[in-house]
Amino acid sequence: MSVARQHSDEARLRFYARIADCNIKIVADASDVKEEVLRFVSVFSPVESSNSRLETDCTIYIKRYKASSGSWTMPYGASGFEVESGHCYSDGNMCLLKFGDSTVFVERPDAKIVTVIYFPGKDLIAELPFLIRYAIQLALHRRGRFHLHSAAVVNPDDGRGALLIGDSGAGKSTLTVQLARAGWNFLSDDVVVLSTSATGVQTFWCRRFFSLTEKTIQACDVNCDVNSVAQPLGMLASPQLPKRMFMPEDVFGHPPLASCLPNKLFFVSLSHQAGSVVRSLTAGEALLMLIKRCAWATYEVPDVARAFIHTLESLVNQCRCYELSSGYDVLENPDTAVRLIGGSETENANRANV
Amino acid sequence: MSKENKTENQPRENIVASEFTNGEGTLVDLNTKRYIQLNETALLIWRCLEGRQTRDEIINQLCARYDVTPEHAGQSVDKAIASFKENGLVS
Repeated sequence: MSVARQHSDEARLRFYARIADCNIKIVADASDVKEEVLRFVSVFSPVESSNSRLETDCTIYIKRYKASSGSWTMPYGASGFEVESGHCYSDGNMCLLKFGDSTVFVERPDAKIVTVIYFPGKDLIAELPFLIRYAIQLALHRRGRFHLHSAAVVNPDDGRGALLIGDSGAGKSTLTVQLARAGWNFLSDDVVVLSTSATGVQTFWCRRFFSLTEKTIQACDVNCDVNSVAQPLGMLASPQLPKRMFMPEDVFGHPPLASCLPNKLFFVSLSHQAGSVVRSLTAGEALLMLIKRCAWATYEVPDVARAFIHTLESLVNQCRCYELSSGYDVLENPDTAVRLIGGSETENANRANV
Repeated sequence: MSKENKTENQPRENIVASEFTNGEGTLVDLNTKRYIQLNETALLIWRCLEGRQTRDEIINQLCARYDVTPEHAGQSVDKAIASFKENGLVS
């Protein structure tokens, strides 16, 4: 993901975020949030030189609530579900998210405009990251790009990617760091974007920083200066956040890769045992596990949900799929992670399932 | 073939079928957020229902693809359709 700042003045901020080969124009029309908007998007993407000739795939308008503009009401007959810090409503075409008094909405499955109406108030700075994050997700969904809560690493031997899928605290970052220490390339330690191309389902990075617990930093012997990224992360950094963030290039000497073509999927969890265990999964098992982890794959409007599920289907069809229970041996030696993700352990798991 | 046969057991809207390289598949019901796994035969029967084929046409498809008798194929079709109905996947 990259950002090209196109134009800025007192009244309006306009810039492009390039995510998963998709140019998203972001327009903020009020001065009270434009710096926060730029800072929030920028922590997910390096700022590039200005380029006004970019073709826009989707536009996100960020507007201050005005009584004269009327209020957005729930679509009649809409079904709703909880999202992080908010609620989503959909009537089959329109998608509307509420965060406090602020709103994100998109009108059709093929819409090229996502609108954020923010309500100025004491909760705005806390709500703004959610508003922008979900607006970007809805925009990407409508361009056939779908987020997955997964780390992504690339085997230097064959150049193919492995996705490490799991909830927060499942060990994705630990495995990613250990593989990076062993010379593997990486895209992200936490979230990627999937997009179908002629060669298969490509995985794209979409977050600049890594996030590790203090325990993992010490166990993996990561030498990072957290203060160097505290300022750029700005409002994301929080005393309540139990993890520390750093730029991977500061630690591993090179930035993340922009994309990869994965051929392995691992559903990772912590076993709290001495040794790690790898088990082979069928494609059907893997797809259902993916769908469980991707609420939007069934809760988006039907046309978008169908595209999301078919992207996940293509992903499991191009990959070998495994369940990995990470033991303490992953922390002890980076070579263990290489053996688990890179080859010999997964080959054994395949043979055991023949 | 009667008109009734062409219109019964039609897949409901917003059921997404996926197919894997091993021939198996899944159905995800976007209405209820439920899903079921299908073996190769059940997936073929589902695809035939999507193509608005009748029971007899589906039996012919199964007999052409697998070394089974029409009676055996008919039992498989009835069992699969009963399961689809039980899960609210067909009308």
